Amino acid sequence: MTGPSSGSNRQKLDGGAAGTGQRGGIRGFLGEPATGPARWVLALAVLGAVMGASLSLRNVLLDYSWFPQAVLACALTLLLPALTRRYPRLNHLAPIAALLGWFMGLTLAFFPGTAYLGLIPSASTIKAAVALASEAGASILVSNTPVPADPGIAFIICAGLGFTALLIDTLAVTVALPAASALGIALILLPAALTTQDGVGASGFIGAAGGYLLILGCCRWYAPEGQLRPAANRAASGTLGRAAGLGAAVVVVMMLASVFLPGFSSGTFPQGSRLGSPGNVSGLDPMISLGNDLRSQSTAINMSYLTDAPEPLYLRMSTLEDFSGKTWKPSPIPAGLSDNLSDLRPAFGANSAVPQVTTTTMVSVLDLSSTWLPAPLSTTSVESLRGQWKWNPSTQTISGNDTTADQSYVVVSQMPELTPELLDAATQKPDNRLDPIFSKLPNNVPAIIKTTAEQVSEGQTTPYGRAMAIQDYLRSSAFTYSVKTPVQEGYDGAGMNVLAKFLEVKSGYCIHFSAAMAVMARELGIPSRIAVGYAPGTPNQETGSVNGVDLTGYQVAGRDAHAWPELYFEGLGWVPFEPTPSRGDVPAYAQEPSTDTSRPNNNDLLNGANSRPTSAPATAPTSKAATTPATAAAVEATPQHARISAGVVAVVLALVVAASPAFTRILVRRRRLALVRGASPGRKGTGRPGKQKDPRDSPEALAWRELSASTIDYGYSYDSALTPALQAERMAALLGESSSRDVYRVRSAYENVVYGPPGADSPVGRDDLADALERIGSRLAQKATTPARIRAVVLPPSLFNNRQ
Amino acid sequence: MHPRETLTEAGTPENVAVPARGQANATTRMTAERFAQLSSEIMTAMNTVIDGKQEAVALALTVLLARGHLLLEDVPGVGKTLLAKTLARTLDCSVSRIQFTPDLLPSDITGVSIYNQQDQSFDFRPGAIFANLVIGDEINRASAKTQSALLESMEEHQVTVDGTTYGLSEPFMVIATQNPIEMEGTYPLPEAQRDRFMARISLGYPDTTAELAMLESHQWVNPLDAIRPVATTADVAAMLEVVAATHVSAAVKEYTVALGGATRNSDQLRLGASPRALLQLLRAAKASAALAGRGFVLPDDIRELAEPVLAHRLIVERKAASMGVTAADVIADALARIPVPAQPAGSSPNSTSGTSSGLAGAAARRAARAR
Repeated sequence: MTGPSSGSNRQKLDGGAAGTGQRGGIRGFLGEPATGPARWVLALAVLGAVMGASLSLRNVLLDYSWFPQAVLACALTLLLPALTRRYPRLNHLAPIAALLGWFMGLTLAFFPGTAYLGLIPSASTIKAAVALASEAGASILVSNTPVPADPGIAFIICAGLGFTALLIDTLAVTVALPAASALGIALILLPAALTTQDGVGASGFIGAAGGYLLILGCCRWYAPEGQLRPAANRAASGTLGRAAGLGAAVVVVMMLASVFLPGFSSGTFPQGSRLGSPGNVSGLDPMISLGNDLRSQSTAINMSYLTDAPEPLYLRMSTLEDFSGKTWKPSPIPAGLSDNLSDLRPAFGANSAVPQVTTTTMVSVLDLSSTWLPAPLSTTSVESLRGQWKWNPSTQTISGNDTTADQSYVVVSQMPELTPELLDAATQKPDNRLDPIFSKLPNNVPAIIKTTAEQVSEGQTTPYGRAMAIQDYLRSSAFTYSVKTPVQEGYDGAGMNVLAKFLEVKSGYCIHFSAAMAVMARELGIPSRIAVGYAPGTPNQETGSVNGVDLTGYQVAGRDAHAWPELYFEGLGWVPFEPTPSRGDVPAYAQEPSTDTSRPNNNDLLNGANSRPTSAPATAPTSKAATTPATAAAVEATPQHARISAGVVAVVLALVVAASPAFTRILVRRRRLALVRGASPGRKGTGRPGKQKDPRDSPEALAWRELSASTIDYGYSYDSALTPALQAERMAALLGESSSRDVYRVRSAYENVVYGPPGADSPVGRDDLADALERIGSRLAQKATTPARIRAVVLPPSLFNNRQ
Repeated sequence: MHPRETLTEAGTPENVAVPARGQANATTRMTAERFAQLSSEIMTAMNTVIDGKQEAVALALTVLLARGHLLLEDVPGVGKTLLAKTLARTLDCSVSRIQFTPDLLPSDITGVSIYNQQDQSFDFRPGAIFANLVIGDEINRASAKTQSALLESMEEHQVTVDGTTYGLSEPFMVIATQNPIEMEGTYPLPEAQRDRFMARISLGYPDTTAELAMLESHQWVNPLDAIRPVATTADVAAMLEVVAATHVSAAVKEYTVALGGATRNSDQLRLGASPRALLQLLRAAKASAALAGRGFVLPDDIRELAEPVLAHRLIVERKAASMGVTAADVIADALARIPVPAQPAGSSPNSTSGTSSGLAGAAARRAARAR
């Protein structure tokens, strides 16, 4: 009679004493429950490691409001497997329990209302989760770090941390490879390392390292070889001293290594440059991210400002002027810029004879984190700014080593009062000291751009006339504004081919219009650049006054992100244009003369100047731009625009996760075989009793474990109630006649070391053992069917069966 | 000091040569080759008499080398007595045979003090138990009182009569037979008595080939006549020393204790394995390992001997018995469930692999350690 049937008989028979019978039945099925605190200690260690490593997200997220939810999700993810491990026979189900715990933890933390009992996810929970995740995906695409911990982001963070907890728990406890839990901890550090300026940060690093040590220590003490034990091992005397010595040696080596090896100060890890070049509006390609910002139509208020200009202002952040390659890029920030923001002058500004209007603007940034300062064109001074910011006179931009988050500052700017007549008079050739990057074009500009520019500007003699012709052409009804068409047609961005396509399709958004105008202007000999920033926002009700001048309040939202061209006119400096239809406002000087008077409200919007007519004589410009342009000194770092789509990262991560069992198994096998072969067969007499004392690591025991693992991989079902001899018999049956001798070797060596008297000589040499194992491995692969082989490699069952 | 002639009403001494005790201790440890040669000679000799019962023969030898006692239980006519006699013949040692009857008295077994009128004193007349090999035929025919007379001699290898304790010669082994079918006029062995027997064997019918061979060879000739002793008492004592020196690892002890615990915790058993049972199981396993030419005990030895050593001591619950569950089933069930400990020697004593077996298990462990 077999076990289960007799068990059921007993159940029926017991009748009256159902309680004890029930317990006996469960116990018979589940095995004896494990005792001792080991499983709880391990769960706490994993929780500590995950939460410690999650401190690195300090720079990724604005605050720690997500932390309690993350603790909840991770704790539930770890609680269920810990409960499961009460019964050793259920050990291999722990990952599944962790998965359930993960679901339940996320449900409890985020959607308790939609779930049964607040824990068990329902269909509406899944719907809500998908909605939240897609919301988070959108905000990840459009925001720069640090991002606010809105529910979507917090959900993604908690889900990620919970999953990592699952991974670490499986690796460290179920698979008994605590060292491999570094993989999970590194996953937590990745977001900070890849997306933030400050990297992981000291607290995150200390948290991750401490958590890792915690896992290693607890696993060593409470679950050596993956077997939970009732009480902790005593640390052997001298362990602390050895650990301290080793740690000190590692620190010294790393300090020396960092001097000689590249990558410590300039690499991605731990504190070097980020993938996204510093200084962009976003970590990604500024063009793409701008498009994303526009498409998201985010109504979140990024900043608000009070200005004494009668009309709202364009706020510039950075510029794109380098069109030497395939696309528009920002030029490198020259070294040696001054951080004095009191008396700012552009490298090539307007002639001092041109009448100028002074504008004062108070900007409060609410929800924008950038290293570029939003400011109107022709800034002359910035006050009450936190951190160190530098003025680049060549591009008239201000960049800093701090971010704009929560900054509040006052900008004073001086714009020349521009009129069409004035501009029309600016016919001189551009100063040849002007940085050639503003007029440089690559050799292979598509012909359509040049021909279009020439056709459009035919008959115009002055640079201003040509510029107006291009702007009018782009604003004509032939072109339509659409943020979606370029994405659908696949020409998003500002590359050359994109521009050619844009001129054919005649649909796009500000990037395409401004880039097209800038390139066409360069084709016609006018230096140009693209300013990136925000279009004028919408008025809000705030008012204020500075020095008796009334200020009007405006607010700028994410959807107001904008790009526009700036063209250089000798004697007048850089003049903004607005080629994008239905966006922003066309400045007065850039309007058709006939419409000039009919729309007085839009006058000189860009300048922030009053639209009063001026009769300033078009005096011959005297090039007064004597201030030394920032000589292009040693380039600090070439900004690279690594366009890493989230999809690629996800696919790579998925592949890594999918391949990790295979790699783990291969590593385990290689380690065991190397240990079986060992360094010196005569180790026994070398006076290292501490090494010899632990026979669990003896080559014979390792060889046996490896034999079991490799046969389990190929479908052998290990029964822990069978003796080694019986196991070997069944393994040999699986392997076939030719391998029975090898199996016998491994088995007899194992029996000798496990059941034989201590110190007895092994009947089989270590090399013979390893050779036998290798023959058995190849024999197994040779005998198995292809699906079985694939399963053995990709998802080795031996990793998930700990009862060997 | 031991009298040469021993006659009781039911006992028939077949061999009266009793060597002095302690003679074997003087010899040095027997080599493994000599042990293997002797054991194979004994088994070959026995197999010429008993056809097709190699396992039973090996088990009988195992019990002898483990200093245990053997209970042969089967229907009449399958060679129980023959097996006992053959084992006695192959060894050059004293043998006495007791035919158990309802009127057999304890003093017939242990001996009696008789008043000597010449010396005006009591002389002790040793009973049938004073021999190296005692064959007790149909042991369950004697009354419980008489059966109990065996208890002390079997467990402690000594006899106490009238307050005087007499030691028994070594090796000492009782081979008892009983007939399980015939219940009329029998006294079933009490639990305490059964627990004294190391192993119980059911011989069973021989297979066709063996039976044909038996019919051929046993027609007119008594095969026992052809048997010459192959081992002396000193040889057997030396073999016992080899067995005693066999190594038992902590893992095997754990396995044994886990098995005992499983029988005690089983809901299908009224009585589980006693600590003595586990001790005897381990001793039998040592003998089995030595016979297999191994210097250490494997869990396989425990597995193979578990049923013969434990089954006759276990009492199945009446309900389970009515369902057809036998003690052998329970043991097989336990063996299929208990994980084989793989912790090699020298590992932490804390790691008893979660097979705690309560107070009784701890006692068994203590007993196992105490030996």
